[in-house]
Amino acid sequence: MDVGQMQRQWLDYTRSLFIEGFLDNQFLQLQQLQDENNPEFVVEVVSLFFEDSERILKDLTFALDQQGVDFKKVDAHVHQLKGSSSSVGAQRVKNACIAFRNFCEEQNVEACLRCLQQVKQEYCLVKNKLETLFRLEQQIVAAGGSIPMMELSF
Amino acid sequence: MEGLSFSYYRDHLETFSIFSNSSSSSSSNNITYYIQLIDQDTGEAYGEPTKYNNYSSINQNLILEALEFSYSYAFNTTSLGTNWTIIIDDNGHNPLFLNSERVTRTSVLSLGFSVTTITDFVLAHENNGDNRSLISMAWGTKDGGAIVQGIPNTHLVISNDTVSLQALDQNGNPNNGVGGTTIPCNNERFGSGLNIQNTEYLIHCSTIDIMGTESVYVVAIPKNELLSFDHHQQQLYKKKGLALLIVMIFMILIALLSFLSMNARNAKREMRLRASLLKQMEATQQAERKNMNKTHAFAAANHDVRASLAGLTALIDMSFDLVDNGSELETNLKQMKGCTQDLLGLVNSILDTSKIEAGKMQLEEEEFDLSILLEDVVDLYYPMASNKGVDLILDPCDGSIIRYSRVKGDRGRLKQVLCNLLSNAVKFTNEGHIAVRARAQKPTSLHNSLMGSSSSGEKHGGFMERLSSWLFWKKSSEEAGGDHHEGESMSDSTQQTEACCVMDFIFEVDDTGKGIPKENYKSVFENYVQVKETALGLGGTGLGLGIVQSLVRLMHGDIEISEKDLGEKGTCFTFNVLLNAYNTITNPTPKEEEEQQQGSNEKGPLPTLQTCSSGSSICSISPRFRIRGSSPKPEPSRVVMLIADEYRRKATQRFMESLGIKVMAAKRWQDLFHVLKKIKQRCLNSSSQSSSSHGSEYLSVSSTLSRSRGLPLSSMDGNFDELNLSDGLVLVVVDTNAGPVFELWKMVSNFKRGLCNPCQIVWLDKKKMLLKDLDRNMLDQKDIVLMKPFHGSRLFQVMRLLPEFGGGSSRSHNSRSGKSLRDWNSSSRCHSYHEGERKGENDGGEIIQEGEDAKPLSEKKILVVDDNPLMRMIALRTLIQLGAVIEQCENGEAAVKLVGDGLIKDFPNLPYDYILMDCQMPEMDGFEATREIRKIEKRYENVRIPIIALTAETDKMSIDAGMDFHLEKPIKRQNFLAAIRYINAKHS
Repeated sequence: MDVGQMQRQWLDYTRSLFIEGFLDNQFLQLQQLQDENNPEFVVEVVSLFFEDSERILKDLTFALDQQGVDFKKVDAHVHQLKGSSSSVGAQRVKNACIAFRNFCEEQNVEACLRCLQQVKQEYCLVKNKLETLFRLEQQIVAAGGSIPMMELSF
Repeated sequence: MEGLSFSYYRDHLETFSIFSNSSSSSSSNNITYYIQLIDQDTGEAYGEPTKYNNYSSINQNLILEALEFSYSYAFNTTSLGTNWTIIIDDNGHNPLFLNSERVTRTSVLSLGFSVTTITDFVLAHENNGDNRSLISMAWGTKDGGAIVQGIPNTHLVISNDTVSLQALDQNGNPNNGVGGTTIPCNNERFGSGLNIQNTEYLIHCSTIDIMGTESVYVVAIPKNELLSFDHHQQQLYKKKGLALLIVMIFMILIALLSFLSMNARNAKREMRLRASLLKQMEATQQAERKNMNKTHAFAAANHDVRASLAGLTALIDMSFDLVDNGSELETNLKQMKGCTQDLLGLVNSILDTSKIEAGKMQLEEEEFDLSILLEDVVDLYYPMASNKGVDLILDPCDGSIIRYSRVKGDRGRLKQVLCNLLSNAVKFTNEGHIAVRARAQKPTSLHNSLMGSSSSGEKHGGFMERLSSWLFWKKSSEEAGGDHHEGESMSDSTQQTEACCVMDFIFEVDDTGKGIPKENYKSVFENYVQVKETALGLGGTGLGLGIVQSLVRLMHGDIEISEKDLGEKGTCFTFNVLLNAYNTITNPTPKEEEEQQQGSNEKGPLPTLQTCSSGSSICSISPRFRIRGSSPKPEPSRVVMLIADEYRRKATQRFMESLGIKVMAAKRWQDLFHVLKKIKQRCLNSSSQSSSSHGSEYLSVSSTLSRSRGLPLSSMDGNFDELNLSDGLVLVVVDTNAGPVFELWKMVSNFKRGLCNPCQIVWLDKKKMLLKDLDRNMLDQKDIVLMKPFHGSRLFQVMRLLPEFGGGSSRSHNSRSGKSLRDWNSSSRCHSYHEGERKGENDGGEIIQEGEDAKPLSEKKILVVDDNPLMRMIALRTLIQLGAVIEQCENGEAAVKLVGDGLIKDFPNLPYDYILMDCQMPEMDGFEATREIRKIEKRYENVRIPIIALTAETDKMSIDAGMDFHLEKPIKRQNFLAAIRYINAKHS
């Protein structure tokens, strides 16, 4: 597979991520922040996000598992997750978090558990997608090409 | 009587007389005859009579017979009558008609003719003289008296009115029965035939009166001879006629044939010509079509090239952001950008040319401020010129441009024209100055100025071009106006003319460069023409001036190279354009627009003015015309100028003086001292003898100086005396280029120290020498430092310092304007540092702007407080890209500690310019941290570090906690910049 084809594929894939709502403009902002001084910026940020999210998700699962759920704590966790997901532009995770927080206010444990499942699912999805994207990028770079620029407007 | 005779006779041409003097007639043998010559005219005898002895030669017999006859007749008949007879001499030759008449009794007169003579005469009469030899003739008197038998072998008998002719045989006997005829003598045309000796004769008889004697003559013509002759003649005629006919027919045929052939050939040729014409026309059409297509394709291709070039430029710009400062890649990019810009310019000019060729060039009418446009253009080229050591001056002339600065026209095209001329001027000028003069004047009439009556109009040959431009313009206006008819558009334009007076704007770009040879004055405006000798090695396509000319003509003006005085170097391009002008004084609303426009215009190349002037000064220059007229003059103020460049000094002086300001201009920096001293002296004198020690000191110094150097100050003195400097403002404009900065500064500060009048110093410091050589603190706070060229808006701004133009009392005004200008001053100073550090040699305004765009936060210290490493990382990158220096900490507590320590360490300088604070943090959240920081700040005077909250929620808590702004997470570049702007605006 030649570089041009890979680049096209990369573009198509990125575009699909945006169209399906996995990512939003924030991700583009991140890409813009990446320059030759920091060539791995996006990957670094996103892997930070992965670490962060996994930790939060573990905490959340633990918190919701207990008898007499501490909704304040849950809410703080969800807030954090929402912040980090919006920072990388993982839009669907962020949206799920917003719904999650509403149920936290209601102190609805079942709904919260449902939301947690949803958040987890969204997180896994976006993680897979992003990992695929990074793999593609690595392939392109390995083949000697450069990552094409995305247009800013979506 | 007896024997005496006298006779005349003619022998050939001579007439002789023969006479005998002997009277013996009886013996004829003895008679002596004499011959004498006779004069033909007089009849007198002359010459010697010679004895005529030759008897034999004289026809004696004849004479005798004649005599005899005479005697007998004369003496026998008494009655007078016709007595003709024909006598024939011996041989039968030479018959004579003879008539004798008795004169007296003894003398007889006789007269004789030779018959042949008469025959000849008659025959000549009768016949046309042909064939005379064939014709024979007989003679006789009618009464039958005398007969000459002229026709051979015939016997003629004449009786009464008939003539009978008897043919004789060979023996002379009448041939009875054979021949004989009787013809009546009645002059019949055709005679009867007679056979004489087997020859058929035609006989014709005719009467003739010879000297009263009725005579008859008979003519006989051999018939067959005549016939044959006739026949022959006829044959001859027929042949000749036939030949003639044939020849004629032949000729006609030839003519016909040649005519036909010629016709045919012509027709053929015409056909051929037509065919070739058709072919040619087809070819021409094809060629035209091809050319059109080519032009279109060319334009399209050019357009595409331009598009991709624009893409390239944009990409290069983007790459600039990503590249390290000072790296090799950056310089390469810079060069690349230069190349693309050159290329873009080239493509643009070619595109313009093809556009003009295709007749698609249209003017875009918009309102704009002409004086600002001029200043923009001049300022744009000023750095380039001053790099070459050439001063670029905007000469305000009579200020008419400012009065009519609001115009409607094609701003871009006018700018293009000016830029082109200026870039040429800068390119070709290596020393001296370039002056841009502009003035407005009323066109004598629209029509006239179009037809070239204006001063810059071409005197000849321009008519058609103007006409075409006029038509062109009409067309374009039609196109612009959509469904306007021609007439309507005409009336439209005239209406416009009335509504907002059309002004003729005349621009001159005058340089002191190499100049253009006079013979090239016309041709430089043609496309692709460059003056070879001068353009060598300077590049360019030679399209520029052609486009300029087309554009100027499109704007109903014309361009030419005006001739300079002898000995002056360089070239002066003069062009005029017609623009709709609005009077700026009457309408206040456009002024506001103008201000806005000014602000927006100057955002680009003039960052110094953007921050400070807030557009107040330039436009209010115009009301000064009103102020001057109405209000009585306040205290007169003086302007002292020391400007290095002669042209700039003179132009500025002229302009100020035209507004009624007293201006003293010093040519050299040494002169400044004396000028200042003089003014000071006047001031001190007028303010009640408070002559301090300074004054006298200066006086003595100056007198020695002026004596030693012999400075021509007398002319200035004269001006001084009329001046009352009691309370006027003294404005001193000093160009740091003109002399050693320190000396100048000393001079000026000395001058200020002893002066009781308000005084304002303006430093023109385009090379930043003032700040290099002097300490910042040495300059008076009130002094104004101008970095940019002293013309246009800056000139007006400085002039507004004068009470005459500022309005109100000089002191209050002074403090006010002084303040505004000081702001301007300080900001310009700060910019200049900034510029100097970051840009080095680049002093083009545009690049600074770019720098600002890319790194607006350069050198700013920002503290980022966030517990989340992800957030911190993003914030960090965002801010670093904006050029900021970042410190970070994980929670509020750490942040408070950092701020406190920083303030303690070096107080007057703030530890951070901004703090970016997350709100929800463990240990100490953002709100609390902010409150703590504000508490710490209170210990110090007037310290407040702007804190920007970064929250996920949009609550109002941040403001209550003492934060200045709050941003929604995640941090975004634009939002952050907006926040900074907001905070800056609030603080200032």
